Amino acid sequence: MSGPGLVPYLIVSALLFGVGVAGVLSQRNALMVLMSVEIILNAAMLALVAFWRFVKPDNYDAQVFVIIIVTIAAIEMAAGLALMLLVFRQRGTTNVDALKDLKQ
Amino acid sequence: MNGVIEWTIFIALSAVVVFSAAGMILTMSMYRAGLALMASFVALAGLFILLDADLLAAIQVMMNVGGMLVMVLFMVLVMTDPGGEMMWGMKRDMHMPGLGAFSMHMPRGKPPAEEEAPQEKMVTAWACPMHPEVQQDQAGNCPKCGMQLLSAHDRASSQTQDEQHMHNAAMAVPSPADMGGHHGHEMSHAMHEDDGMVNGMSDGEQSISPPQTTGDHAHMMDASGHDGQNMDMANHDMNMSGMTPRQNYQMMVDMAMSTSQLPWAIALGIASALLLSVLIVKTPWPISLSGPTQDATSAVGQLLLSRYMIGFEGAAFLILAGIAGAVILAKRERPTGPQQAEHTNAAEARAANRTDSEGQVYTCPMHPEVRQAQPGHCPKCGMSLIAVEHKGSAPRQNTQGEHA
Repeated sequence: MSGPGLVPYLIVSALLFGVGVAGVLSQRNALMVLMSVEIILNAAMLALVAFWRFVKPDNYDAQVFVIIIVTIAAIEMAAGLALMLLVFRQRGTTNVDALKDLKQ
Repeated sequence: MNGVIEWTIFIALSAVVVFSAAGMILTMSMYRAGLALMASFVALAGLFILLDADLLAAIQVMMNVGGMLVMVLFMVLVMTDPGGEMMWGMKRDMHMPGLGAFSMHMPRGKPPAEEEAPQEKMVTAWACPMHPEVQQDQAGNCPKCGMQLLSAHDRASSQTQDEQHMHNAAMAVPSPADMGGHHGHEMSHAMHEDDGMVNGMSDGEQSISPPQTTGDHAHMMDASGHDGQNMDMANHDMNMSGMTPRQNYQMMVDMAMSTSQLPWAIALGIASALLLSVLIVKTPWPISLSGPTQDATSAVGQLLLSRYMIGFEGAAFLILAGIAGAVILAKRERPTGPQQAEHTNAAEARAANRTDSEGQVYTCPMHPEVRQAQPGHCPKCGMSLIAVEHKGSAPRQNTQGEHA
């Protein structure tokens, strides 16, 4: 009996993606929305690594791509946290419902 | 590696990844959410190791857990985080069913009206002591038994000893204003007492309306809970005695981490996950049977340095730009030193002026009819004036000199 193949990893990735989608749609706090976006990115990374391992194991481009995704995620988190800190100082809240007037 | 062991590790790590991520969006405290996210990240690094991507596992732990999560937790520390042990205690005491056992979502429906209106009605209503269903706006006689109608005050004063005792207990419930963290235990204790009280009142004491105490609110809330007005299923069991529906609603809103659409969002997430899973299973993937041949770390390093140099440098530049933007954005505008000092001086000067003009009047010790606002000399005898209180009778020594 061999270990789990490609499909089990991809299913885990799909589940993680669904959790992230539910979080992005349901959370009130912008910080929690950012964290849910991180979960979605993690799901994408898991799918990439699984594809690399089981489809093209001798081509390491996928790993480089994952490294770049991690980097971009860190940047997104830093910029998002800075924005949220600014909004929190100005308004005293980071609820996304309280930021409706941004569109005006 | 043995297949069974690999499957076991895979299932355990996958469970941790998915369930801690789900716990992140269902918990009530942002701090706990950060910890759950960290558990998810670490377990995902374990999955990477299982996939022979050791370098990515190390990067995952370093970047996500070490970097981003510290940022998240710092952010949570800066903000006010509703949650923690007090919330868990409250939820335990409220016996919340279903999803409410994990999460606190926004109450559905419109907020109930301010509590002033029903209170006024209760106070001004006149009711028959024997027939509580007879209520009218002015005094008169009961149409059923002819007895004189009593106002709410009269009814309150005609309460029995037993009820007085119970309403005293109800008054002991702290108001939501001082519902601080250190009140958690007292409050949960009071809530237990209160539950029994509300049940007793709604069962046996329909005949007499309670007076205007917190027990009053409890009664109203009990009734509204039975009517199902503005309360969905989760909210019904969360009604805390001693709070008006409005206060209860406000507390729910303050504590909520997710919107009232949480069930829909969860359904949508499950639906998308199922759709993706079906597509994954149906697709014939070109699976390669060989494993990774090279040493992954050196291969990835070579790729980064040769083919992906520009991309990696661009990412590094984006990091720098992000950090610089964060620092610039987060720079706080605070009043500079001299301005602040000026402000303080102006405030002091205003205070001194007020003291001079309003608080102190100067008079001559020999001629009390001489009174003026500034210190100086008496126009009649030339003596220096002394300070008296503005409205005080006895003149007292000028204390300005001591202050200066």
